[in-house]
Amino acid sequence: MTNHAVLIPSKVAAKDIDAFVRPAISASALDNGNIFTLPQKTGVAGEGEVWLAASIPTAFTGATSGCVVWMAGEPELPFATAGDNVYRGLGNIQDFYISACTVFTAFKPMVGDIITLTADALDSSTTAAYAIASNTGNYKLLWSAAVANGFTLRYLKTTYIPQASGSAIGTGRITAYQFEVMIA
Amino acid sequence: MTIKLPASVLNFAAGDTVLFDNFVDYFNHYRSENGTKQFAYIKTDKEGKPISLAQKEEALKPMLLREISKRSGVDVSSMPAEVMSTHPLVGWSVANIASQLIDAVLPSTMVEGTSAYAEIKTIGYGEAGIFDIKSRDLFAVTKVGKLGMREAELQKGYMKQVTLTPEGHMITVGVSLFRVLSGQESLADFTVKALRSIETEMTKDIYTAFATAMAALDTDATTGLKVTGYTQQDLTILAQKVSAFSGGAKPIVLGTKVALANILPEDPNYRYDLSSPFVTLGYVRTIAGIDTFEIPQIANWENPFSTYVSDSYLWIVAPGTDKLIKCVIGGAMVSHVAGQFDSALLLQNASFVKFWKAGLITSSVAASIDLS
Repeated sequence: MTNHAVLIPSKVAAKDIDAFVRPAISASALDNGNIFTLPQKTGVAGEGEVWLAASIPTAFTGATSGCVVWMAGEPELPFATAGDNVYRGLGNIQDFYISACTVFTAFKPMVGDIITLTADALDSSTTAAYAIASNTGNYKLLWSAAVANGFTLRYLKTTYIPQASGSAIGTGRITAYQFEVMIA
Repeated sequence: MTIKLPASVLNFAAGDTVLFDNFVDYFNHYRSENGTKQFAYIKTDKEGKPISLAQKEEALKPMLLREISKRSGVDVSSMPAEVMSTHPLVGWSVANIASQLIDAVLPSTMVEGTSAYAEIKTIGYGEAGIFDIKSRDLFAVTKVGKLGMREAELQKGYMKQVTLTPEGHMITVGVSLFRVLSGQESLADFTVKALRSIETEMTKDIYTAFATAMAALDTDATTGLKVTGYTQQDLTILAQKVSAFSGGAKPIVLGTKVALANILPEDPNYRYDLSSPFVTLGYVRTIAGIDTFEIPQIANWENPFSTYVSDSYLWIVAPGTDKLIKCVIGGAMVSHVAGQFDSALLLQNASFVKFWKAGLITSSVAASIDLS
């Protein structure tokens, strides 16, 4: 089974500021820690405050200065599916993702935020000095040796998120990367 | 040791546990006479005379016939054995009483041999075992200023859910109901043999999961949990690691009798007398404050007379913490006996199906010393 990204909002402005938190919906399944823009509200009846998540536009390659980037941060409730049935509360943290067309919580990363992400939120596990927005439609961050002209995270350290292994003795940690939001 | 009858057997017995209590006593007597370990069993009859295993086996026969009559609703003494042996309900009763007798003792006997490193859990028929394994990590602590900050960086830890789905295991043996009902074959003896076959296979599965996990331990000199070659210092270092990462739980050393015999003090200036455990047991009971625990050897029936548990390893575990290996037993044993005239050759087969699965599911820490 594919692992999904795990996000720890270690210290984020959105925790205390309502304006940085929005309900959103995406036509694609997302992981926590995925990034996107919120260009407009859905306009669907009953979704008065729900915003439509869209991948970073192609025009913003490495230069998202005109693009307001948001991040998925839904409380994790792992689930298992069998056919059309969804069984909540089963599975592990790396099994969790946000199903397509499901309203979820998005927050606005702000300069100075400390965010911890696992490798599945990035294009690879090869670290670099920075992580910038990918414009390839996959909602992920890209490792980058240089600061982007827009949304940029500064790599702080490689750390871990505790999770019991269950399948090997002596393991039980998911490798994670801690970042500081440098340009929001 | 007193065996507590499982709920499924008590339900089956419906208050009449005479047969099951006597079978448990017979089995304890049997394995005390056929093994190295002594179990609690009745040694004298009501008049104080010694009672043998053979006498108990004879005493079980009428009890089994009574139980067969009760279960089948057919008085098996009302007609000749050769007639009763063709009754379909009698065949069903014989097989399923044997199954229930096996279920009466099986979980307990498994726990005895593998208790230091395995947990046995009985689940319902057709179900999967679900284990919620907690992370053993602690949270990181940071220095801060003098109440100038409301919160430190948020940390979270997660449990892991692991499932274990029992697999079917089957035995089919030739049995003659006529010989059972006429007293020429001992159903008790037959049941014990089936029981020991299943017990051995299940123990092998549990041990294999354990040995495989221990073989995969990291060998890094500083952060590893596995070393090659016994020294008292290495043993103590590994025991310290296991204890420290298990919240201070007491570690013990596991191994076969042969493996444990390698544990000796670092200083060669030791002496032992004939009454010391090293002579009477074959190994020291305690080294550097760490107790030793002998794992019973398992016969490898596929390759006589080799044995299954490796004599080349010492394993250090903290049995008070989450057990390394989980084994789920899926429901009661199901069995059936073919009718006497179902086979063109008049072969009468009894089949037993038992579901179980063992696997490494843990967040505990353990260490290994390779003696080879």
